[in-house]
Amino acid sequence: MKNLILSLLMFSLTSFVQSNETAIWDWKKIDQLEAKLSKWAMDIGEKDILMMGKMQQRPEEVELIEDLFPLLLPEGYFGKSIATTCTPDFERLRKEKSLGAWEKWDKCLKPLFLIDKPKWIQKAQKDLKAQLTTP
Amino acid sequence: MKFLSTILLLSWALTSIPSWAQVPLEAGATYKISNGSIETTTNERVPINTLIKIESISGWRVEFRELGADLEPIGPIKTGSKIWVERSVAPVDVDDIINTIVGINTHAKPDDLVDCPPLTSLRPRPNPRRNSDGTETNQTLITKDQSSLDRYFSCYKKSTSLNEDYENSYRQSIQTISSEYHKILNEEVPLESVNTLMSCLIFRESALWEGGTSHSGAVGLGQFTSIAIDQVKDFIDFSGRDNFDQREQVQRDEHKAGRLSVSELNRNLSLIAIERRNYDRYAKVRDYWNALPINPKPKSSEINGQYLANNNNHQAVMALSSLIMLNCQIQLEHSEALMTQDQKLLACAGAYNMGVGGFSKNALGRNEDQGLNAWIENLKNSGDGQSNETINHLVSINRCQTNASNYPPCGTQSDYCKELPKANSCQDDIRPQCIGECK
Repeated sequence: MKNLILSLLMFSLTSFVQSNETAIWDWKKIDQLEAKLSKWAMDIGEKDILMMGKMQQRPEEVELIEDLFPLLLPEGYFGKSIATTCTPDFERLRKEKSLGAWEKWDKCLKPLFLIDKPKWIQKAQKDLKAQLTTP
Repeated sequence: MKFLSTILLLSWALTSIPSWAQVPLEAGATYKISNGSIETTTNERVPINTLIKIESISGWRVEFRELGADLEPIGPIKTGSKIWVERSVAPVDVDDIINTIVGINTHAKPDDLVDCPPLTSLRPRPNPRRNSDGTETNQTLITKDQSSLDRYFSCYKKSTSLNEDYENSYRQSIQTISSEYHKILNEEVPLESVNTLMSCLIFRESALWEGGTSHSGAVGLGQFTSIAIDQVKDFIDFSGRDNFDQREQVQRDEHKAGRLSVSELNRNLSLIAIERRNYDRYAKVRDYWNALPINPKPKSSEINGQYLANNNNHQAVMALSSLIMLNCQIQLEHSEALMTQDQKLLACAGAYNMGVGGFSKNALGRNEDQGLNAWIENLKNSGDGQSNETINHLVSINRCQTNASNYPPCGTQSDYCKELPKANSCQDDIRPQCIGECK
């Protein structure tokens, strides 16, 4: 029983991606996420990241990179070119932090995903928009 | 007190578990795959109910071996993604061990399996087209010719008058548009294949040439949503400025002057390269629109839901649908997916339903395994809300376009299938069978 509790505790404390599901993202958090994921990708190495790109069952970290920071992906990573389509608009939003920039990013994303945007994009859109409209 | 704190700690820990339970893995331990299959780094699928022994855990990967009947590891060491292995396995219980030792296969027993009609594949795999020297060409799909296509539409018509609309008006519009589309693809796909795919796409989208407004608010023969309307207007109105070389130079100068680090420079150059690619795509789609020989060609300001819902505007509506197809085709051209041109065409028919990004993420094979069957399998596993609809959409379009088979389109309404057997008989003695939804 003790082992089970310890394992569960370890799991809930160390799950990097899971903790991001519940926390509210602000501009600082986005920067921190990118820095952490950049380090994660460096530690993993280009060869393994490319290998992950060829799998349907990918770690959540690489899914998060695909959705929000695809510039961190190595050249040749499956889907990189499509994943980067709206990256210039997202980067402009990070720089300008304006509702206009958010709307431009959204306009780019809508036809790219039509019905269901990837979950990390949905979260970023929701959290960041709330901060733009809150005085 | 100690008991109470244990209970509290346990309940806190349990509430921290996500909806998908994960089992913490230990090297040397044995587990049973009990929730889906495990994909390996060589893209093999280790099926449910297999017993595995964890060899090592390192970073994102887990190395494991399958266990044989004597519970000894068999076969090579396989590697999977740690989080997915954690999600897929459960600790082994005594029954699992006994069943494995006495040879009871916990998969479905042979006696449990029954033949499900139809006996032939509903998703026929086309034979590769060959060059005169016997080598395979880049084209793998053999599509219906115009007369076979016309017979297919007639066979599965919703009403005589709607089929007459196709024969008297829509067919010519699609041919005109396909001809221009064929040219912009540098004639890499046979004109007939483009024409057939475009016809089958609109046949499907329009609910067998009806048009109208769907429950989701999509309108007309091309089933345009407000998102698609904005998108095609953006293509037509596109007037960006090609100053990318200059912007790149500014970044390099900033770096030389010490105001940008190497990583900042590389990042900025990557962003400019993406903007250039987006610019080129928009410009190509706009130029294609300008070259389309359709008359009257609506101005962007005239394009709205009302205009697109009017089937009299069929030529412009189908031309606008082809803009969405072309935009997708260019994006797939730039992508890392290894596909033939006609696979890209079919993929774009799928992307018409869920967006290029959605289709790339949820359907496209991430290895060399591309094609309808792989996409359907991926869509089924994706959990995307649009996946069943997209599967039906893709299967219907593929059934429509594939030569020498006349399987019916997947039902778009629950009572439609009941009417199918009443359709007039199709060629090749294949009596249309209603098999319901394709998913």
